[in-house]
Amino acid sequence: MGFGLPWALAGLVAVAIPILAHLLRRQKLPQQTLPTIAFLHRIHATRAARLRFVDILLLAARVAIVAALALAAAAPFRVVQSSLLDRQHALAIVFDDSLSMAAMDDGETLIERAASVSAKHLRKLPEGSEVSVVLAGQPPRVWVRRRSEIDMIERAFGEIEVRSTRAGALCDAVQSAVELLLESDLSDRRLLVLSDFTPGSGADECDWPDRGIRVAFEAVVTSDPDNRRIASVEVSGERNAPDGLTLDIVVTGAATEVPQSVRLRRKGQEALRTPVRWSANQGEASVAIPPGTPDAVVELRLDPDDVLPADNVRGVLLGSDTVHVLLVDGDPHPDPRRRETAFINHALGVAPRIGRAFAVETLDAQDFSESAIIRSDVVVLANATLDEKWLPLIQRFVGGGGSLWITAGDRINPRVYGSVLRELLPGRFTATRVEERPISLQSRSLPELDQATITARTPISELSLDAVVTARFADGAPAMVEHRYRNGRVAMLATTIDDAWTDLPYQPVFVPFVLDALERLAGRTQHVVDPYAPVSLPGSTSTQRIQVVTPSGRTVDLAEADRVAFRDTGEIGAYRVLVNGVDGDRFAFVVDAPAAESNLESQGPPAEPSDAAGAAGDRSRGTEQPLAPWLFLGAVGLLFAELWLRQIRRR
Amino acid sequence: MTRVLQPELAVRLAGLTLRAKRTVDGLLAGMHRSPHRGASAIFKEHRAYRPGDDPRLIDWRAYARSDRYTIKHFEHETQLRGTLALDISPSMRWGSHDVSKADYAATLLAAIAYVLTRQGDAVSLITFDDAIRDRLPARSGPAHLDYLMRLLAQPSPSTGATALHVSLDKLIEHAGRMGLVVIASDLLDLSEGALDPVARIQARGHETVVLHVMDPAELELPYEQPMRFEGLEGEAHVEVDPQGIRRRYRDAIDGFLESCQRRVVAAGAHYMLARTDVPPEHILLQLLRGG
Repeated sequence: MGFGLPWALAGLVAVAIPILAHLLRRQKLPQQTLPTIAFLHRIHATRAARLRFVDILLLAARVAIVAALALAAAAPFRVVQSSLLDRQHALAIVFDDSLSMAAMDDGETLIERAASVSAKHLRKLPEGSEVSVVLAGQPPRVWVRRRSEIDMIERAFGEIEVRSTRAGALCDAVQSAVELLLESDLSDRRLLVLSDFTPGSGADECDWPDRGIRVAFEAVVTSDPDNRRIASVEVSGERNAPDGLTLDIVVTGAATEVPQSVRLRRKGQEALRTPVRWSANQGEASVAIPPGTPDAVVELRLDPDDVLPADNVRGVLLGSDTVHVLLVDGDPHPDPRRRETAFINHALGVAPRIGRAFAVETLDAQDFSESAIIRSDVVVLANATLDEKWLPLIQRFVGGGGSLWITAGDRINPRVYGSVLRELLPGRFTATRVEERPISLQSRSLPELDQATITARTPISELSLDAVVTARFADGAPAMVEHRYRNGRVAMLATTIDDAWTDLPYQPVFVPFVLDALERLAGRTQHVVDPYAPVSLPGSTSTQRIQVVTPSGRTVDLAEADRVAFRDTGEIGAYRVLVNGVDGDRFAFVVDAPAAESNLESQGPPAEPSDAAGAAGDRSRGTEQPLAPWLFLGAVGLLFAELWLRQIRRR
Repeated sequence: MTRVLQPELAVRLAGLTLRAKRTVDGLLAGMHRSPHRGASAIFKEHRAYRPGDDPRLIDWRAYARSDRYTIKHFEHETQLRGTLALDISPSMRWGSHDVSKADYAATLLAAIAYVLTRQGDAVSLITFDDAIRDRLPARSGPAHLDYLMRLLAQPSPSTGATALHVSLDKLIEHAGRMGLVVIASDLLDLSEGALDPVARIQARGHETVVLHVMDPAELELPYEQPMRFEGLEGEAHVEVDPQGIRRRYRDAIDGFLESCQRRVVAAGAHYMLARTDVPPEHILLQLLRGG
C-alpha cells in the first residue's frame, strides 16, 4: 500500500467537519415550547431508538465519504507482489534486437539466446494471458500485438533476424510496449525487457513506468565482450593523382594474440590485405590504392572476425563527394578557348579545392543523351537550341534529383523553351534585347557582380511562384532565376556564360559566381547512411536500368520511377549502384555499423528504486494497483446511502 | 370593559341573547323557562285537579264550562345561572402568535358573561388548573360583570398542570343545579377519565358547552427545522425534525380532537373547537345562535 500524493492525506482532517457539524447541530437546535409536546413524545418514543441508530449511521456515512475522497485524492495504490507467472496478465516483451545483440556467445547470437529465454517465459504463462512483443532495434517495431496464442508467438520469435545491424532504440520500444499494455483490458500488466544493457541500449535514459505496470529486466550478455571495430577511415590523395589514394584506418578494441589484418575488397573481391599495428587499445592500418582506380567505393574488413563480425566491415567512398557537371555547348565556337564550356571549365579549374570537387564533362548538343546525363549532378545547357526529344530526358533527370542550368545566347529560341520546358522553368525567356548602353548586374550575395557589364540579354518574365532571383540587372529585371522542380532544381541565366554578351567571364567574380551556382544546384547527397535508413536513388527507365549491389553481392533492380527510396540497407558495407551495368559513381553509398553498438560491456539493468521489493531472480517492482477508483466508487455508494438514511430519518 | 372584551366585540354582541336549551332553575324572574309552574304570563297547560293542589290555581272559568276542577298551569320564567370555567394551566398561557389560548378563552367567556348579564342572568366564574384557583359566585349586574372581567383578565397564577377530572368535579359543586356551564380549556389532560366530569355536570341538569381552545401551531406543527421542543407543564424536552413527523403528529392531534368531541358529545354536552386564529366573534356567533 502506498500513496502517489501523500501530502493529500492532510485532507483527512476534513473528516472532523461532519463530526463537528453533527455536534454543533445538536447544540444549536432552536428551542420551541409546545403545549402538545405529549403527542411528540408519543410519536418520538417509537422512533427515538431508530433515529439514534440512523443518526449514527448518517454520521458514519458522512465521515466515510469525506475520508474516502481524501484518500482517493492521495492516489493510493496497492503493490501486488505476486510472482511474474502466477495469474493471467498482459505481458509486453521489449526485445532488444540491436547490433550488439548480434554478438556471438557459445555458438549463438544473443538474439537467439534472448528468444530462448522469451520462449521459457511464454511457456509458463497462465492460460488467457496476452502477449505483445516490441523489437527495440532502430526503428522499434511491434512484432506481436496483444496475442494469446503462445505457439504463434514462439514462431514469431524464431523469425527475428539474428544478425541484426540495427542501432538501439530501447526507450522508444519501451514507450510502444507501455502503450500496448495500457490498451489491454487485463489489469495485471507486466513489462519484460530482454537486452544486453550495453551503453548503446540507453536503458538508463528510458522513462520506465513507475505505476500500474510491473517491470522486469532480463539481461542477456556475452561472456566475451572483447570486440574490435573499424572505427574510422580517412581518405587522402586523389584517385587520378600520381600517388593515388591512401586509406588510414583506425581499429578500436583490445589487441589480440592473433595477428589482425584489414582486407580491402573491390566489387566483392579481395584486392589488398594489410596488417593492423596495435598500440594500447587502438590499432592502425594503412592501405594504398593505386592511381586511376575506377572504383567509387571499396570495402574494408577486419580479419579474423570477433564476437561481433558486423562492425568489422566498413565501406569507404572514394570520391563520391565530387559534383559531376555536364556542360552542353549549344554553339561551339571555332576557337575552343571562347566556347561557353571553356569559360566554365576554366572557372572550375581555378576554383580552390575547398569543399567539393567538380568533375566536368563537356558535350556538344547533338550528343546529348540519357546515358550522358545519368551520371551527372548538374547539366548546363549553354546557349543550346532545344530539341523536343530532350524533354523526357530532362524531365526524368530533374525529377530524379538532378539540376539544370540554362544560360541564354543567340541560339536560344524563347518560344520553344516556353512551350517545351515551361513546366520545368522558373520563368519564361522573352525576345532577346540588345542594350543601347551596357548594363551591370547586382547580387546581394556577390556584390562584385556589379563589375560585369551586359550588352545583350534574353529577359526572363512570368516568374513561377517559387522562383528565387539570385541576381538582377541594374534596371531590376531578373538576371539569374532558380526554383525547385520535384526532386531537382532549375536555373535560368538571362545572358551568356561566355563573352558574347557580357564581360562577366573576364571578371574575377565569375569564378565564385559559377561555383556558387553549381554548388547550390548540386545540393547535398547523402552517401553514408545508418542501417535500414532509406537512400534516394533514380529509378529505372525504359532505357536506363538501375541496380544496387549490396555488400554481400546481392543485386537489386530498382523499380521504374523517377526516384525511389531504396530501403534494403540492412547490410553493413559498401553499396554500388549500376547504371546499365556500369558503376554510377555519384550514387554509390555506404552503410556504417552504429558506433554505440560496438561496446559489448553490459552495464546491467537500470537501477531499482530503493523501495522495490523484488523477488529473487525477478527484479520487478511489483504491480501497483490504483485504489482511487474503488474509493470513488465507495464514496458514491456512501453518498446514496446517506441520501437513503436521510429519507428514512424523515419518514 | 377591560381588555378581555374589546368594545367593538361588545357592540356586536349587543343584539344577541344566550338562551339555554334546557330549563334552568333560578331565583329571579328572567327569560328562561323554569321547571316550576306558577305565576307567569305564559300559559302552559290545563290538568285535572288533584288533592293537595293549591285551590287558587283552579280555573273557575273552565269549571263553569266543563263542571270539572281544572288546574291552569303557567310557565315560570326564571333567572339563568351561568357558570364559566376558564382553564389557566401553563399550557393555556401559550400562543404561537400574539394571542395566548388563555387570552382567547377569556375573551370568549367575557363575551358570554356580558351577554348573560345583559339579559339579567347570573354569572359565576371559576378558574382552574389542577384545582380550582379562582371562584366568583353567581351574580348579575354590571358591577359583578366588571369584577368578573377583571378576574378573567388577571386570574390567579397557575401552579399545576391541567387536571380536568379533579377541577371539573369541583366545578360541579360550585355550579349548583340546572344552569349553563361553559368550559374553556385546551383539554390537554390526556388521562383516561379526564372528561368524565362532563357527563356528571350534564347529569346535574346543566347545559354544558365545552370550548376546546387550540392554537393553530398545535394543530399543524408548522415548523420546518429540526428543533428541541420544550413542554410547558413539566414534560421532558424532545428533539425532532418536524418535517419527518408532521403527518403522524397531525394524525395524533386529529385523533385527540375527535376523541374529545366524541366524549363531550357522548356526555350530552356541546363541543366546539375554538382555534385562536379564528376571530372570537365567529365562535361566539356560532355559540349564541345555537350552532
